[in-house]
Amino acid sequence: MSETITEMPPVIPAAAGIQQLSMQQALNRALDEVLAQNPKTVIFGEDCGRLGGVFRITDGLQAKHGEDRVFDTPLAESGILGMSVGLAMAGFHPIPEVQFDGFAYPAINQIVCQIARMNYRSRGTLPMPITLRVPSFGGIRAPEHHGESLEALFAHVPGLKVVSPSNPHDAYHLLKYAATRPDPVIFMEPKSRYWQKGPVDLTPAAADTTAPDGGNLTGARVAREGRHLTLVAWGAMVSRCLQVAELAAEDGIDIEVLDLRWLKPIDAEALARSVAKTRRAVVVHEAPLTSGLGAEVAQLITQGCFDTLKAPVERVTGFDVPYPSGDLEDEYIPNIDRILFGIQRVLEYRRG
Amino acid sequence: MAEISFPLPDLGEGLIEATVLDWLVEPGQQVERNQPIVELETSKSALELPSPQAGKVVRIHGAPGETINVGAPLIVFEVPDDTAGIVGTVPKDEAPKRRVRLSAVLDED
Amino acid sequence: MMTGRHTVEQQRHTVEGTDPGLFVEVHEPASDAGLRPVLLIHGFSSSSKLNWADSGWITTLQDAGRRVITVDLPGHGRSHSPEDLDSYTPSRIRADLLQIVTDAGARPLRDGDPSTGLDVIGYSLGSRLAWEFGATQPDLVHRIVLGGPSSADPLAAFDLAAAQRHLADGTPIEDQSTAGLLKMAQMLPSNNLFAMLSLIEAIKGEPFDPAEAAPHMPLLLVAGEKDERAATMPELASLAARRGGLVETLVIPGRTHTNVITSRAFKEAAIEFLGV
Repeated sequence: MSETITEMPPVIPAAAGIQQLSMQQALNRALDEVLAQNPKTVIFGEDCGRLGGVFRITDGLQAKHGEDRVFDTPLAESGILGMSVGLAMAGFHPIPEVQFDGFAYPAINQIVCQIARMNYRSRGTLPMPITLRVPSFGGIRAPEHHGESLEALFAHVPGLKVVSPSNPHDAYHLLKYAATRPDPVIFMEPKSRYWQKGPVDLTPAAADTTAPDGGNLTGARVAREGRHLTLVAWGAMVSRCLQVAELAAEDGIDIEVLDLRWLKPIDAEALARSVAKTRRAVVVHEAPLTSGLGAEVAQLITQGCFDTLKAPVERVTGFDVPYPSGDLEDEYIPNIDRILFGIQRVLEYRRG
Repeated sequence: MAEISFPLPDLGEGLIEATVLDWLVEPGQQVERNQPIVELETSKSALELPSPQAGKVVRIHGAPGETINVGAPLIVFEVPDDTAGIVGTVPKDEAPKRRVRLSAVLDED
Repeated sequence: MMTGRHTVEQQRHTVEGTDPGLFVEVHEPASDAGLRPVLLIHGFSSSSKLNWADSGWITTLQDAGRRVITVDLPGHGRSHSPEDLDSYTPSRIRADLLQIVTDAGARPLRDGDPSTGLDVIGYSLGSRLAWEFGATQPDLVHRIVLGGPSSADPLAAFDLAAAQRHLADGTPIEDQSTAGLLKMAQMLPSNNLFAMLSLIEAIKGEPFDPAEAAPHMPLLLVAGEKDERAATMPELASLAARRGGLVETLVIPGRTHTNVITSRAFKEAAIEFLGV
């Protein structure tokens, strides 16, 4: 049997409003537009102003929108988030940045005890419309404190919403959406995906944020359709899972990749919908295994699909060790082979 | 390519300015992070400033004998657009490599 | 005191019965050239950080494969400021330096073994101490580099009474050198002024007399062309030369007592001179 496979160049739609942007550029553009649309938004953090952020996400925004709206803070995350509480109380929409995920720890008190529960504590009179940007996860060979996966920690706190985009298009729209929410949103940017370019549909119709449910900006997204097994991932692990799906296809296994996007609240319906079809699931994350978000995902899948699941939901995750620095990163972050092994374990499982 | 400008940093001890003694690098030169770039004299001592950044020197500010204020431009580097932040490296998008093969009998029951 | 396990094993010796609390660091090279360690002695109202680290000496020596020992003089940098005057006397400081370099692994010179002995680089007051240290430790010291050296002793000529009056009630100081040195000592907020004056008082008790004991090992003397404090460098050079040792001098064009320290030419000459 012979088959001619013509490899097609990637199709970039020529429609107006679609641009090739890196996630950096997409986020920068989103912030620029948010500042222009809402005079109450303010952006601040370490090096956010004059330098434009160590990852260039706020590049040029101070020059364009002024030092009152985009400014530098001292090196004190408790102060950055504490100030956000005060600004939110005063009617602003702060968009603070914690320069690296590991620097969020000194501000846990402000995030957990103030931002997350002020609305509840004040019986709704003091909402906290704060969009906290956190460059997150590993993959850039950074030293300690510069690569952490804090989603389970944040997702566990009542009052917080947590979201992580996996591509430039979602980054642009989800950040604009998060920055218009009345509630605090932890916006986890996968820093290893900052530089890769992808198509971003900038037309407003691409994401109708005026729809009551946020249009297509809430819930999970099917990144690739498949029949045999669902890979669940978020952030930087989505692109890795898409690679794995391509490799699995060589072996005749058709994999669906579900980009969870929102880590609080989790889109349980999308999980059930996907796994009801594929009947097998592997969840992949960079954070350590124990009490990681993979456990929550596995439980939601089990609850939704217990009758039809062909195997227990597998988890392929980081290890229960402190996030290692650069040299050991490849050993820690789930790699293609570890994910393939996880898939194989599910495929081999037989009841009884 | 992008340009990154570095100002004269705070030299501590309440110093507000420094005088250039000698530049140890010149425009067009490729420098490594922490490589000494300039000899400066303050009212208290003389010191060598290490480069805050790896990159190609585009411009230097201040000839020997000239005084520069803390915060004023000192040196400008040219760096690739995809240079990482202050730490870490930009990951390379490489073709995926695998050692594991999948095998399964997919009984569609 | 040594600075903990990242440098060398903690040593707790007291010389002459009291602990002067001197801050010592040993800087290892990435790639060791197999040569003897280099002791750096900073100047009055300076510190190992200002005199040697910020000026690029430590990294330059490390890059040349040299193991570097730095010590902050009493009352300077991160060293203690002892109450007793004795801790500040040059003779006591020399004894403490000997203990420190021994603790840091320096061993007496042995013919044919380039890892034995000790090279010393001093600057200003540190040059005076290096001169005396070399003269009194001929079995240990291999070569010496003296920066901004002087045969005179500006600290011994310091008008202590006038300085104390000035500090008490602002009475102007007539002697220009005294006024200048006091201003220098006051300029660094980190300086302990009491300790600076104690050091001066102790030096007045043991003023520098280069002829009394001159080192016999090879010397390199370096000063800036505009260094007025080192105007007597040629006298020191001829004094040492009369002892029959190798003496080289280097004058750095355009540089002063303050700013010769960062000079590349100074560093390169020192590394070459000590690299044998």
